Amino acid sequence: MEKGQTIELKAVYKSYRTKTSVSIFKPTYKEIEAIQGITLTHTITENLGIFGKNGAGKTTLIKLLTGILPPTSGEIKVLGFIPYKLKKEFKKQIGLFQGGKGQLIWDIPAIQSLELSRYIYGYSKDEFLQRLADFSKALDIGDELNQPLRNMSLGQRCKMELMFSFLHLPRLVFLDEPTSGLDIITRSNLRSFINYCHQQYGICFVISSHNVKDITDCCKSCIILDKGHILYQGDTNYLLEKYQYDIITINVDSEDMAKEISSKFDGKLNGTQVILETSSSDTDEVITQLLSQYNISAFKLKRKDTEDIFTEILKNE
Amino acid sequence: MSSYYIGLGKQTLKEAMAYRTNFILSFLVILIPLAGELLLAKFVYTKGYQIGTWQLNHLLLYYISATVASEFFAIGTWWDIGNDIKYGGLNYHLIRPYSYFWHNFVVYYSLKLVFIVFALIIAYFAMVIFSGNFIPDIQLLSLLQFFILALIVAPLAFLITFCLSILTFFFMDIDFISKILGVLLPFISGNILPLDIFPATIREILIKLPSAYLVYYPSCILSGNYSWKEFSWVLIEALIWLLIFWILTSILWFRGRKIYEATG
Repeated sequence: MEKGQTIELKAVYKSYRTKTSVSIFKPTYKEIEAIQGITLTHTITENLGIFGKNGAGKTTLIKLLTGILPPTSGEIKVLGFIPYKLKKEFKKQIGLFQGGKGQLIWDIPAIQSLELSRYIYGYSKDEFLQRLADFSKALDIGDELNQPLRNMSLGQRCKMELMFSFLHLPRLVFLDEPTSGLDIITRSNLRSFINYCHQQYGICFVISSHNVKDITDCCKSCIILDKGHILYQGDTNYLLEKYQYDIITINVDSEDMAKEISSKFDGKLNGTQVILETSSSDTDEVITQLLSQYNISAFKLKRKDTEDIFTEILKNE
Repeated sequence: MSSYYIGLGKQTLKEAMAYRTNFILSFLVILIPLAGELLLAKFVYTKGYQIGTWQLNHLLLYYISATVASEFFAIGTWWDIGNDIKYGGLNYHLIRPYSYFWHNFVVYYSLKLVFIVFALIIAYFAMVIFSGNFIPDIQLLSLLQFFILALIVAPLAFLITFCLSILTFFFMDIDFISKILGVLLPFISGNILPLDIFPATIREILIKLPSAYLVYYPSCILSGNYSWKEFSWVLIEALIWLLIFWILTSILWFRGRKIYEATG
């Protein structure tokens, strides 16, 4: 595995001190263990999703990977660099977007503010205009470019900030809660845009989110974080298949029949209603058996959505 | 990278001019205190009093020069830097391939440029009104010395501002510094009265403080005749302060980064 192509963490810990009471004479502090011994290797050919509840350590992990914070202990290498050293060559190859945190100037038209990107990273005006046109088309942005940020909606501002984060086409972009506070349509647009940039420009995204669809739609690989520990690390689709369950709800004519079905298929009994949970791979066979052997009066099939799956993994731990 | 700082300077100027009324009326902030100082000085002298050994025309020129100098070399705590540290805006700056110090230097002086131009215009008209000449009574040598000193004092002024602002790493809220400076600085920098009129012991201390190099010395140089020898000493002492604050700022930045919380 080429070193400049990876994100590597070895036994990384990060703790910080937070004030727990305000006092002129003796304020008290508490040590928070945000990241607890994470070891991880990821090749930047695929996007990586970081999923977890609030306070799981997602944002801290992003800050460690970008070099904003140093680890308390352990080793981190991103694209062959130690992030915290913040070498210029490293900084040129990364981008960062933090949901809800602005980086553009509010009072001048967005296009003028976005142009700072080409001054920072030193690419030509033609390249800037070409990328801007391409990104604007993908994000469905029109005349808004000529408006100051202060006159834009949250969704429009978010699009501008997102564009600014990787107009310089870095190899690696960190997105921290990119869809936080946005409506469903804008979220969907942003996810499509991220996938477009990954395919078109080969940008690898590391996306931290507590919105499951951000991860499942954009990232082939994912990690699930909880209290600073990794609960799962690997292929997103494998995770979904492994935990994918279907819920079959049936109604039969008699309670005896319901009891029989419940004991045979290990279901939950509720009068003449039985609720069965089956792994998705077995669902077809179970339904065939039920329909051929019993007189079913009502039948409902529900597939667990991805959010349920991630929630269940977090609950079980 | 220099193209970045030029681009940033242009954007900052555009931003400053986004609100034209505020922009244009800002000159009152410079005009009103200067008018007050000049009228007060004139009133004092017409009553037969004298401030130190200063002749009225030299004192008026001193005040006009002090107005220009205090715009060129203002110090304080800078809200932008404090907020970046307190609320995590620094995160974005840290991961970009430029120096946070020079980024802020450019923004600071681009915003200042507007006020410096206003100050120069006001200073010119004040000189014309009080001297009755359209050509200000300033020696070319004095102007040359002022601009040489400005090359040292402008970075020094920003370095002090940066140094005070990054104390946010340690105290989170540094409003108290602004308040203390707001009260003390006009006196100790020579903005209200030339430092040489204070009693000897106090004067000896005040003229060695870095604040003296921000207003007092530049104003004295513009309003009087400094020999090259005297000027060289001022320049060397300003350079020493520049070095001291450079070291101090580097230490504070290094230590501050270690405890930076990167909020958000």
